[in-house]
Amino acid sequence: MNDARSPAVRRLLWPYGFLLVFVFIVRMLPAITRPAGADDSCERVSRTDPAAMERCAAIHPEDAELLIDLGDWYREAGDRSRARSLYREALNIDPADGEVRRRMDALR
Amino acid sequence: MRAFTILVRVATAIFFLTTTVYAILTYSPFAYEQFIQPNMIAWLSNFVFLHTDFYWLMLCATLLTLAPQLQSGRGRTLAWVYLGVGAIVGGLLTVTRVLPAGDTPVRSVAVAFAALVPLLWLGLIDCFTGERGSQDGRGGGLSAVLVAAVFVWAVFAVAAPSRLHAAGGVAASNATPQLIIGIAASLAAHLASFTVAYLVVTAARQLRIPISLLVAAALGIALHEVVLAPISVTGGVSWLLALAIAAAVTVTGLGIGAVARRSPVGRQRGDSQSVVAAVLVPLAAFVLVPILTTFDWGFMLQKLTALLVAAVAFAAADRLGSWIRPGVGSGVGSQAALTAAVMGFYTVAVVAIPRLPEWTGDPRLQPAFALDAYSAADPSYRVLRQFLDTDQALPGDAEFYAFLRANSSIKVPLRPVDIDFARNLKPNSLPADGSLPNIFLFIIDSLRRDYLSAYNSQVTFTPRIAAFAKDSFTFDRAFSRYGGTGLAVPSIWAGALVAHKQYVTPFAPMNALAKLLDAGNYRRIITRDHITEELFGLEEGTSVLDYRVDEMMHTFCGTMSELKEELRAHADDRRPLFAHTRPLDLHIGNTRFASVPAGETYPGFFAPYAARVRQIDGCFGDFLDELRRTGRYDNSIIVLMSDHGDSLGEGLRWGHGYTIVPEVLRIPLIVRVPAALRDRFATDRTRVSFATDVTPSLYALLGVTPARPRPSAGVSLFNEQGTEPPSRRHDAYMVASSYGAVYGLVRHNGRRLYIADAIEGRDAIYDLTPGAGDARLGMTDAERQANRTLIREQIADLAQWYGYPQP
Repeated sequence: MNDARSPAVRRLLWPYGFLLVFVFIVRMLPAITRPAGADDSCERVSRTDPAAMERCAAIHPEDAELLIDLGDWYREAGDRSRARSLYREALNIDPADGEVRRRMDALR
Repeated sequence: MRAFTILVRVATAIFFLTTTVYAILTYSPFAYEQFIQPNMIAWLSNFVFLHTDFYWLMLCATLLTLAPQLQSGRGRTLAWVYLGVGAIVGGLLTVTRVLPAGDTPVRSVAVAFAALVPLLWLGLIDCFTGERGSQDGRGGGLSAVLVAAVFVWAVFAVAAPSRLHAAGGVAASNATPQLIIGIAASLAAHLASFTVAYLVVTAARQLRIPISLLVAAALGIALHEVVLAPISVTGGVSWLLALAIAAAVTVTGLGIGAVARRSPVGRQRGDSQSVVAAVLVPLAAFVLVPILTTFDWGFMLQKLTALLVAAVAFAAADRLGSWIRPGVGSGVGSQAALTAAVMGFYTVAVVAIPRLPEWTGDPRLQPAFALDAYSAADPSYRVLRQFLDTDQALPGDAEFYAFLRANSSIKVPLRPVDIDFARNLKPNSLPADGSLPNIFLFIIDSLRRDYLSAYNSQVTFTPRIAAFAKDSFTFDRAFSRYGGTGLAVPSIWAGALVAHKQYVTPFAPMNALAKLLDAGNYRRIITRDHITEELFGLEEGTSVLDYRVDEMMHTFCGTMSELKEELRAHADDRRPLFAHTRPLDLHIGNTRFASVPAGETYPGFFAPYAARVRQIDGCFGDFLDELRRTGRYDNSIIVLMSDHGDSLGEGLRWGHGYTIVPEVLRIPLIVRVPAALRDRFATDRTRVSFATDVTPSLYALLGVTPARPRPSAGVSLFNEQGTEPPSRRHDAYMVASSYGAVYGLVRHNGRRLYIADAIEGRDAIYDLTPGAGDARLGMTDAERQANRTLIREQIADLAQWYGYPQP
């Protein structure tokens, strides 16, 4: 009995069983084992929430848009010094940005 | 006779497959518009011209090879019917045009399929009357197949470091970890793919499925994914075409094999031929791939070459494995152990590579970037990667890419929309008091901004354009909305994104530029090419440039000579002028093999391209001199721009194809405005701008305040003095390839570019901040999702505008 079943089991495993497992590994493994990315909510941060923007600006100091928006918020809140500082940081990232330069000029 | 028969069969296969390829190119609207219409593939146009002659030649040669079958024996009826039907078809080809043009999709598909029938037929005759060979090989064992996998991996991996170094990508000298990641991932992919193929072949043998059926199926899948998808042939038709071509090629191969085995010598040569093929094909690929790089279509030819190498190596291993060391590693137990080992290695690679930054404590290490860069230099890995992990890497990928594909190269008929930047703009409604400026719209196909000194201080070969730029507005952050001429140019005329279809006709309701010209009663002087002829309209009254010049031979200098003649000949015409041309001096089809004039050198630049930019610069300067001499310069708006940029070796990319990358989307945009208007208008050159802004800008400069008809439409680059130009920093601007399902977003005042490639199943973000070197950036899931949502919204807006249902 065992002699008769053994080749059948072996045939099921080789090559079909291996093939199924391998196809699973190739097609599904990357999605399953993908490491969780370091994520944050800064992409959707509210432009009316200065605390959240400050937090995101600290995480993404290269994000000129965020710095400009934060500068705009401080300018409208009357904190011209902080606004100027943030605009300057944005200009350090992108010195050619005419829109930020105009805002700097308007604060002088 | 045997050699002659094989030669004729090969020639016949080439003839009928070329016929099928031509028919497929006419089925794909974009391929017809961009490859066939402008005569970009000259040999294909010649082939079509001589098609009937070639057909009769092939039929006559086939008649000679079928002489034995026609007399007696097996296949006699098949051979007579082949020749009889062939003669009738030949007669039909002689008296009428059978080959399709670009507007008959049903005929295109019918011809594509019909051209495969002779191949299947001849293959059947040859198989029926020739010697049957064993299709199943001897089963060389997994160990031999793995040796072949390592061999193929090594052939491409050896060349990769030097190719990357030459391209300025991952250089061995300063990026060894990235290179090692690429090479290791490639080895794992090769071992895994060859093992899967071996398991499939073994299973097929156990189930007594003919190996030729497997070959045809694999070829069909490869043709669908690597060839047809990149030329926008998709859906059920694509699968049927791919499988039909694969079947025809396989049967032809079996037939040729049967003919070869008709002699005893032919039967004995199999092993030696396998050895020769296994050595020569990879070596040929080693030489061929760098040559293919410069004129490839999105790595298509390189991928096909890599697949051919892999197939030859696999077949040779299957045939020779047991011959080299009979019995070694052929037991089920040892093969299972080998398979498990490969599984383990592949699993380790898949799990470990993304975690390397965490494990090594080096956050700057970006394995995904390294693999993307490496795969550009290793086409074998690139094609395996496409099959191994596309669409499965991230949740939602498959659905999003399917959405992009479904909304690209739209097949259903669409009605044109009205694009009006001004209400009640009627012909001749602008003042005819001589105040309207002339307009010169020069769109230099494929001109890159960094080959102009106005954008790049390293450039020394464009002094005339530099002088022109000093007298003009040079927009620093200009982009095309479409990569590739096909939709880029119509979108410039429309002043808006147009539907992803080539083409929505009639184009007149969407031609906002032509409406403005009509309102100003402009005299039109326009280069005739397949797009201006089909869309812009070269109706009576239009002076046509380059009428007798083949489109791919349109040069800026040639066109300027004609334009100068035209201006002289009609010097007394007081109407304002509109002159427009799109020369192709710099198109990759013209520059890839161009020579550099003796004595000229362009260190740091692609010399053949730079030499042609220098020529354009000289002719542009001469033309400006002519305008000054004739008193037209002061009252002229002169726009010098390109429809899109081009890749000149960045990341081993060449041309523009169906991909969009920073160097393809960025364009030069220099606008010279008459002094009188300069006093009235202001602009912000550092604000992000698009080619679609040109037409609304012309409206503004001509005194017609443009109202934006749709969010996807452009805006004027100029605003009245004393007013603040509208900010664009918070807006996201969708961009796309003209020729495939590759979309992107330009955001943050042109500092960020997100690209989603639904053909290769990958996405990326680039930092386009001046001085950042277009570096790839890491991307969080939130960023990815936000960008994808914006693309979906803008595609939905376009669908709503043009009234087509989204799948």
